[in-house]
Amino acid sequence: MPVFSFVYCVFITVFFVALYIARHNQLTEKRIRVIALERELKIEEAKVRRLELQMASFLSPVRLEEVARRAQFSHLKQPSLNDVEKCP
Amino acid sequence: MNKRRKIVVQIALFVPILFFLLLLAQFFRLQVVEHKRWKQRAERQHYFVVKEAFRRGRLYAHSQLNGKRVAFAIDVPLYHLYADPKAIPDDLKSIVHENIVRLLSPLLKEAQKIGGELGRRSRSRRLVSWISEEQKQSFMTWWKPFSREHSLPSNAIFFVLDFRRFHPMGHVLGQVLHTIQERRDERTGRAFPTGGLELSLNEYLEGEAGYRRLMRSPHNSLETGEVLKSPINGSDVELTIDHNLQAIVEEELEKGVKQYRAKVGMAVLVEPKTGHILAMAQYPFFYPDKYQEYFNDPLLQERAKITTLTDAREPGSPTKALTVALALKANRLAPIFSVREKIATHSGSFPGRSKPLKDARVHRFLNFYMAVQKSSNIYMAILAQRMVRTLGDEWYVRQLRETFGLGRQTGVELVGESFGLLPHPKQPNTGWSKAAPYSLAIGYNFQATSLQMARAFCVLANGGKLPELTLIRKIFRENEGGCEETIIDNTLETRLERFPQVLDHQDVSEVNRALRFVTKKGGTGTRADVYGYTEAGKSGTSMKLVHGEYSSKSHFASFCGFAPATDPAFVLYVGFDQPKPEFVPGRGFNHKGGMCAAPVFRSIARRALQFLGVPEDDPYGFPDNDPRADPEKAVWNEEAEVLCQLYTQWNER
Repeated sequence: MPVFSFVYCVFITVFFVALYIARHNQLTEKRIRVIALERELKIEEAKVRRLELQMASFLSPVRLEEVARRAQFSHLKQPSLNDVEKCP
Repeated sequence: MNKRRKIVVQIALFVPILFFLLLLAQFFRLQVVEHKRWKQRAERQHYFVVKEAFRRGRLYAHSQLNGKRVAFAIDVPLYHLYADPKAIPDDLKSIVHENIVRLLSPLLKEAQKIGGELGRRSRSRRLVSWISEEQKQSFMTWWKPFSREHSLPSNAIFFVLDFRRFHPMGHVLGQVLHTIQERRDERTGRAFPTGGLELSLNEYLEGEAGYRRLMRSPHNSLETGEVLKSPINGSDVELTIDHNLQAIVEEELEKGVKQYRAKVGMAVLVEPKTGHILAMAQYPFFYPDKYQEYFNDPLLQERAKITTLTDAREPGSPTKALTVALALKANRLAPIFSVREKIATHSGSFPGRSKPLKDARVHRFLNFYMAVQKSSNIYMAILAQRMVRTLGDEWYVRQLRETFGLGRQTGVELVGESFGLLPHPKQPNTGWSKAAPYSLAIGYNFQATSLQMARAFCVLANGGKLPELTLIRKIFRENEGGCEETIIDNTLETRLERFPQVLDHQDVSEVNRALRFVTKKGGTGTRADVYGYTEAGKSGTSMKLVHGEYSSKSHFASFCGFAPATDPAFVLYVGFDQPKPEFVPGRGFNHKGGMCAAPVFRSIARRALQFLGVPEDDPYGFPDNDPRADPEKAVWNEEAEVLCQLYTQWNER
């Protein structure tokens, strides 16, 4: 009977230790992932900044004025404030 | 024997105890007395602190695009390539050098230096600046296997992240914005602004670097690091500048400078009610992203300067609008003239003047409106004479200073602003003489910047209130909670209440009425008539002082006015420094303000009014060959015709 109790205790202990180690491994895995994600995030942020710059250059008023002067847009005119109707 | 044995035993016991006590003492010294020191050393061995860069504040335009703020300057993260020359054996340095040049294609200047930098006995040398993420990755795909193959430490070559300031709109607002130098302070990481708003607003734009502690590890530290201090980003600034209007002004100014072959062209667009500067342009342009080219070339350095603000000069005839306004103000204290008074203007002799004053052509009699329309020097000098005789010369100068802000900085948020120069009767060394009031009345003998002249005209366009000029609408920053926190707000109504009423509303209306004749038949600025809109303004051509004498070859031409005349959307000042004097048959000399600055005023004003959506208030006011033209219905044509007839009646020989 005492042998059974001892084995039972060892089994329970080993089970919880294994559970703890598995949990710890999961955590470690996630921490590694966080670092990788953080690196990726930085790269993406840098990309966003570069795209922002490209977009701002593309929408630069100097360029837009040039585009507005093209023949295909010559029929367009700047609306006056009287022509603009605001939705309530 | 027993005694001796006892002593031996005692000694044998005492030595280990003593040794143990010494050990304990040493333990106490290390763990308690010198605890801090050893802890610090251990932390230095196991951890390292990295600096977290802050984002420099952005400069936004007032205008928006698709509901989003438009930035004049954007910080883009890029890398610098560094090497640890001591860690790279000499025989491999040439291979490293070749591959850096092949994969990162640095500038020629940098490429030539790489060999020398790799040869230095240093642990950290910057080899290539401003490398993109893609270039970095392509270099690393070569470097990693190479370093493994030759058993080199992987960090013998490393990259350092940095933010580079780019100006996506190129030259737009270049001189006002300026930029920051490529190299930062190595210790603090702070930037060195090259001038403009970057310099004057540096304390707001600068943030504070953060610090993060990381564990040293050959593989993965498994730590994203403990944040010791979060970086604080710089505050963002919303300018009063409308980036579209700025582009329009710059485009028209460039055309004007090229057409009239001027040395420099400048223009300022101000909203008179608020004092907000909507555009501030100068040609030749300054590209902030290429600032080194400008500062390394003495000929180009001038282009980096904001001449609108730093260069004070004799403004010439636009001052006449201020003279007549002051005469009307003087009239309220002691009657000196009437606007309909027929004043003889054939003689230009005034006390103290060695040479008599002259008008462009001889006028026998003029009234207030004709004098402004024809830009009569003699009429203005007569008004100045009457003001000085009645109220004293000090009153006259004080009014120029207090009513129009001449001789005083505008207080705009830029460094290097000139005060201008306004002589004072009690200070002869400022250029005061007996003849000074007559010169002041026609825009000579004092100096003012283009911005000061624009502010003076704001008084006329703002019902007699002198506004404070500003380039900043708001300065704000994101607080820790992610909310926008306003630091400075120049959009509040309370700010407008501070503007002093310096002229009577009725007097201002009278001056504006006179200024409306300038662009109509018989005026000096007909080429500034803004098609479809009403306008009021004054042209000017002043001779420049060259070696202490007025030059007949070197001029400053300008036109200052506002539109629409009744409810001005803006005041616009256009100035050309040294336009080439060329005679155009049927028109006259091209260097006159009414010839070169006036048409640019017209182009800018019309495009700006259309852009702002201001409805046309003179829908028939177009040139005769335009189908929309109807001279009978055009605003102010009838009044101008009546004035012309009266002028002919008074001046026919």
